[in-house]
Amino acid sequence: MSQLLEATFWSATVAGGLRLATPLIYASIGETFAQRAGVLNLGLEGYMIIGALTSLYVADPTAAPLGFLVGGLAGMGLALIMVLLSIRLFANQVVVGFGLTILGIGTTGYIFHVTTDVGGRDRQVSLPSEIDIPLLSDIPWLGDAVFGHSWYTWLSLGLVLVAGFVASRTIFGLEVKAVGEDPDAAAAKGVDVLRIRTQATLISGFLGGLGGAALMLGSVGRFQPYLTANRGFIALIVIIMASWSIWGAAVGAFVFGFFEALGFNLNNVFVDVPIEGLNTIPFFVALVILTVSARWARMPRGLGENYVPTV
Amino acid sequence: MADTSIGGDVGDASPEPLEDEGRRLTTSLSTSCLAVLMAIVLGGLIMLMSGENPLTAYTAMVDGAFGSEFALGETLSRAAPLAIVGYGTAVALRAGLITIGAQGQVVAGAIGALVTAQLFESGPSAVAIPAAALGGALFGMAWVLIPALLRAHFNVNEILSTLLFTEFAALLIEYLLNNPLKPPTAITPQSDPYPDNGILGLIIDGTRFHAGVFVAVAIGLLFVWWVRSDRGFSYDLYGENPSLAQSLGISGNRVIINSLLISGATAGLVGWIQAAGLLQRVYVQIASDIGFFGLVVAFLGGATPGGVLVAALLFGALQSGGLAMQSSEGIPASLSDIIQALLLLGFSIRYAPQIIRLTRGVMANFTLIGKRRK
Amino acid sequence: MTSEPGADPATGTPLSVRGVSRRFGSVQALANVDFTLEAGEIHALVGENGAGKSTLAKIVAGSIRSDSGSMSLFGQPYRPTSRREGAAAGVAHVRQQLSLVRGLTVAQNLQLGRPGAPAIFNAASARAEVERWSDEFSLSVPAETLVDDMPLAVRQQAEILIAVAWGARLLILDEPSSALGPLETKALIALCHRLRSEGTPILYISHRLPELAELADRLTVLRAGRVVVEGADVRAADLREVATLMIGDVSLLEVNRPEIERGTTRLTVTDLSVSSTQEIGCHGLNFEVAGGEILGVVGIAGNGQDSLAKALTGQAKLASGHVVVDGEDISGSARQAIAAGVAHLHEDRSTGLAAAFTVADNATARHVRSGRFTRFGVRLADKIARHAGELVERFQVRPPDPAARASSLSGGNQQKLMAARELEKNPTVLVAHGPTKGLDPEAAKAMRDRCFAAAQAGGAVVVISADLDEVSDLAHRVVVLYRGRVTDAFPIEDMTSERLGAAMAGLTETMEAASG
Repeated sequence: MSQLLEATFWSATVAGGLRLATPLIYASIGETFAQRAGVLNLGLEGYMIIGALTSLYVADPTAAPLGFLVGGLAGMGLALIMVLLSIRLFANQVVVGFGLTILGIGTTGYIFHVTTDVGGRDRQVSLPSEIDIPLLSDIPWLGDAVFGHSWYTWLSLGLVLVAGFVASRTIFGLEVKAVGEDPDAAAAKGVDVLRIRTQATLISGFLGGLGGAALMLGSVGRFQPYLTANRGFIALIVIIMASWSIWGAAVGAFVFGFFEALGFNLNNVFVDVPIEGLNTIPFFVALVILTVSARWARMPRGLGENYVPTV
Repeated sequence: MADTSIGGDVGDASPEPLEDEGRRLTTSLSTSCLAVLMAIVLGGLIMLMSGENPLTAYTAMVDGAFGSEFALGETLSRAAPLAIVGYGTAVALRAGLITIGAQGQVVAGAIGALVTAQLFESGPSAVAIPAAALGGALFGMAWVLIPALLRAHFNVNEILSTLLFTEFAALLIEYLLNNPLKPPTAITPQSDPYPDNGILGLIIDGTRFHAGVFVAVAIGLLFVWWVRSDRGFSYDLYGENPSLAQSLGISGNRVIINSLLISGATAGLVGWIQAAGLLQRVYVQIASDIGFFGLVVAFLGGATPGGVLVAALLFGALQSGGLAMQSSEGIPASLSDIIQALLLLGFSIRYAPQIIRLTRGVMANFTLIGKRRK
Repeated sequence: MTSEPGADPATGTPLSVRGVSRRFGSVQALANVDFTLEAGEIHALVGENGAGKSTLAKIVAGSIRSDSGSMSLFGQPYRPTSRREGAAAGVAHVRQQLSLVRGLTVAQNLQLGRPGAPAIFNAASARAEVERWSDEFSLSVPAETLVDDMPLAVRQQAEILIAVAWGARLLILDEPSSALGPLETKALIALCHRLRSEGTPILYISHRLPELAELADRLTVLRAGRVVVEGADVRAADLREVATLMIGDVSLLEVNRPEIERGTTRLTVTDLSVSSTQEIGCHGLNFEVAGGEILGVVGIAGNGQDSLAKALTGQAKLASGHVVVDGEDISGSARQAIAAGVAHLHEDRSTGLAAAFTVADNATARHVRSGRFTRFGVRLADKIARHAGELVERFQVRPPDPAARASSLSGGNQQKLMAARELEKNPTVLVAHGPTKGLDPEAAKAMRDRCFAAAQAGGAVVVISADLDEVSDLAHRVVVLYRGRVTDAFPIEDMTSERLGAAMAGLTETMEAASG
């Protein structure tokens, strides 16, 4: 119990939270773009898992950054199917999203099996080292929590800044919001709704793939089926809580990661409480957040509805 | 797909000349066949790319699904839970709700059935079996109650809330099977064997074709009644146009809560038949992917009685065939996941009429959070 | 990218349309249309619903293409293939459904889709530009308010302002006054005159004749896709004759109000309040409607009409007050409202019908859960089809096929189908929300007759509408809604545009009780 009063417990939890949040940050920022544009990407789970496997298979013989990048491209490849079926052929987004999630899980499971020899070496990568920022990392407690992270985490934080800028300070960001809120009006103003939705979906595929790759290369190191464990769906909850803001999505991802880390760390404090019970903490928090965010969240008006151009 | 009375709609907003029912059925059948064919061809391509022979693989698959009494038993015992979950999910789908929580509800139902069966361990089978069924159904319903209330009163999206309850169920069963329900002698997490007096026995020895499969038939018949009933019509009406339904005196909250409870009860029954029939014990993985694929089956079958049956049989065959192929040819069973995904994607595009009608309803009711703004 | 209004547009006739035709499926929307917009004029294009006005506007704006014919713009051949091209050439189209994106601010809308706008959005300069133009035209368009939160009239001003800022050389206003009150219409006319004096010619599309005399210079009449009058001088024109030319058969326009005997009070509304997250709600409404009486509820759309319609039909939870029909309190229960004989013609046919269901299912949907057509809880398809067949015959729904999908019917027939469902029995109370909205003259007449018939049969009728013509055709008495409150109430004989305008703009003090 007394551990709860120690700063190191909390700094470790914050640090663990940020680490666990990293893949979610990529994925939820990408999904925020798609959803702001009105595209409900339930295939995010699929983008993530295919990004994870691909990044491993590329990074194992080459280098982690290359694997990371190709992982993003793999997610984008899967998102291309979403573009084709839902945006261009007007298939229901929910159905296609589920289909892509199953396709991602099935395909990665298949590839993993056919490429793994019995008794052979597992493909794996060594996990990245933490980047210490001189001076700042030396600040007691706070330094551990905030500054000792891998480059995947640092890059995700940089991404938040860039994405936030793009979403609110560029014409593209306005166009994304316009086609999600009011596609008819946007089209009437000469915005190419399908093109913007396509771009936003591909961004979400790319960042979803990066999220999977960050999970794989940054904290797991080897593949297992169902590796992403519904993180793609958790990202959807994070977005709702953030009310479709980029900053909010990053904060929401961290909140989820924090409670996930808290569950793990509390296991060392309350040894009598079953670990399964502590592991419900992040999901329980997600449920509460989901319920209370009904008070403030304003979903993009056109979310989930296909836009069919007239004439 | 057998039932066209409700499902067979072109569903397009543009008032195109109406096709007659017969032509619509043909279109529907031919698109279905085309989608299946496409999935098989694409699956074959994937195998070719990974250096396998698709012909051998598919032969092994067909053989493993239909080639023997045992194979048929496997297919049926896999199709039955998919059909039951499919029918329950279809009630919700027709009312415009997408629940993917069946996964957790199956787990809850299995726990409920096991605990109830253990209570009635010394009673006659005639009491123990229905009691366990009821226990399973009630646990399944309990597992969806909170998401149902959240959806009805706070407009919290049911996909996400039921997903969280699936996580809770997974953690709960892991805990129970590692601790209170675990026999002292067991090494891996599992329960005691299911009580003898509650077992749903094998119909054909040497197969896994057990009495629980007939539950699917009963649920199927109930679903036929449902789609023709006045109450079912009122739920369909809500799914098609919620504001109209409410103006006609149909309570939206009641439709939402009841249809989700029905889907929870059917998933709970699946937990019961898996525990009492197929496995005769409870394992962590008891739900395998039934919940998720049950939803897919409901979608593919257009939430119609015949459609769901055909889709469940197809998926049951794919899964049993896939496993047989894995053990005989060494080709991963995940291939059947891929084919199932391709089927869903193939059916998602414009020309499968049942799905179009269904998804329109789903979108009329869809919200991630809060009331949809106009 | 801004160009000053009036800054030397290229010489030549602003717009010349020659022999333009366009077909949609089996409908010839435009047939060989010739039309000229001269410099410095406001040219009214009039015609009934479905005459082809909006199609012509869209072709000129570039949103759709013509099948044949040619156009020139300021003397140059003009063949736009998209709205963006049209806008780049200087044609701005302000539509009925405004093209401001609702989730964005006016400043953001200014830059969105703007030809040649830089990729980075500069909030400060966009805001300054909106304010500059707003001052220039003496408007008060807020730069950084979400369009969602602005009244309709302001949205319209904002859109015209953006058009001018984008350098519009020619403005098309499509039914701009249809949702405005008298005062706002006046302000709009003033803005149009201002623009004309700055040198921007305006093509003004309307189906309401009275305001044109004050507004326009010339007028062109379209009927069924053909030009029947081209460029007549508005001041010299006989509006009565124009109306004849618009419709063909004027008897469709004539409203023969039947003599209706007034009965006792059937609908009593006391202290009615509804709070709504979706719209403005309504607050402290009191009124009574007698059998045989038609009460018109007017107001600019979005002033609480939806909440009122829902409250009167039992669909809204009331924050306070009661809705009593024939002595029975039906507050908050759609089921009780139906049992008490309340009928509801929904404003929007897409929410008022189950589009994917059959005509039979729609026509009999009011009986759902009544046990009327069921045995052992199962619906009896034969009985339903037979009953629906009779209803469809009685209400003249075409085609009279109970097995057809509701979505396959035309708008007018969908409205008739909705009436068949709701008016199968004579209602005690009929709540008719925009009953003739968007209908062609024939279907509109049929719906007016339905409302009169309901009153003649002793029902209390409430017509809720933003269309003043519709209300003055039907109602005996009028109440005016503004921000969910009744601002005025008077018999139809006392209705003047000044009085109505003041009440619709909220300039009259809120009336606590308004019963006649």
